[in-house]
Amino acid sequence: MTDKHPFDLDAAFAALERDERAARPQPSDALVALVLADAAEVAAAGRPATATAPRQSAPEAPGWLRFFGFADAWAGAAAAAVLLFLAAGFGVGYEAGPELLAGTGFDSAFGGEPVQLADAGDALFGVEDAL
Amino acid sequence: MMTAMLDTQTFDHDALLLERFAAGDHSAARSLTEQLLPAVVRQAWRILGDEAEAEDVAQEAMLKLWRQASDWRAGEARVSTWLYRVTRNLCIDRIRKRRPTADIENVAEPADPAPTVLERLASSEESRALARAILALPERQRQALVLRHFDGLGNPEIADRLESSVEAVESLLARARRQLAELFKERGDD
Repeated sequence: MTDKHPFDLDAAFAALERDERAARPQPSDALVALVLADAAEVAAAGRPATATAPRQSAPEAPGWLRFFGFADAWAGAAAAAVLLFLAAGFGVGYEAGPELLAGTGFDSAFGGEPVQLADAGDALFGVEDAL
Repeated sequence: MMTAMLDTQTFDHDALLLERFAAGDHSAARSLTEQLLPAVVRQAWRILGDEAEAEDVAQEAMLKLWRQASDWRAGEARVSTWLYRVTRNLCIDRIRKRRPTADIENVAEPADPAPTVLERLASSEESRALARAILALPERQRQALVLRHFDGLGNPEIADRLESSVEAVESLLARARRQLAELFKERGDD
C-alpha cells in the first residue's frame, strides 16, 4: 500500500472509498417502520408462557418437590425408592401382626421391660444377649 | 449468562439487546435496528446493486433475527456476524432466482459482486481501474478488502465475519494489497 507506483494505489483507494461513501444507501424510514412492525409481531405472536425461560436452564421441579430441591431425576428416583421401601415395610409389619411384636427383642424393646444384661460390661451388646 | 458472553475483550452488546428483546423489551428492537440495519442494507446493496432489493433483503434478514431471538445462544456467534452471513445467503438466493433457467448444479456460487457496484459508481478512471482489479482478486481476499476499506472493520471483526483467525485475515489483506500493487505496477509500466 505504501509503495509508490506511477499509478497511485493509495490515491485510487481513497477515491473509491469516497465514491462509495457518497453513494451508499441509508435505510429508509419506511424500512425501519417495517422492521419494527415485524419485531412487534414476532414478540406478540411468539411468546408463550415458557418462551421467556432461558433455553439452557434446568427444568423446574413441580409442586412440593421444588421445596426439597428435588429438581433432577436421580433425586426424584431416590425419594420414590425410599417411599416404596417404607410402604413395603409397613405392609410386611401389618401382615405379620402381633406375632412379629411377640418376638423377644420387640417385647423387651417396646414392652417397657428393661433388658437384662449379663453384667455391666455387656451394656453395648445387651440387645444381642436379649435376643 | 452475562459471564458466558464475556469473551476477554469482546462483549457482544447486540446479544444483550437481543436477549432483552426476547424477554419482551421492545425498545431493544429499536436499538438493534438502529445499530444493525444500516450495515445490512449496505452489504445487500453492494452484492445486489439495487437499493430496493437491498431493502427487501434487509427486512427479511432482520425478521430472521427477531425469530431467532428466543433461541439465541449467547457466546456461539456475534449477532452482527450471524446477520452478515444470513444477509449474504439471502443475496445469493436472490441472484440464483434471477437466473431461473440456469442449471443450479453447474452454477458456481456467485462471487460477492461488490466491485461491480463500486465500478459503476467510481467517479475517476483510477478508482474504476481499482474496482476492476478488486474484482479480479480471489473471493476471500476480496471480501476481506471490502470489509476493511468500505465497512471500516478491524482485523478481529473481519476474522469473525469470515470465520477465520486474525493472522489469516492479516495474510489475506497483505496478499490482496501485494496483488493489487503488482497489477497497478504493470499498468504503470504499460
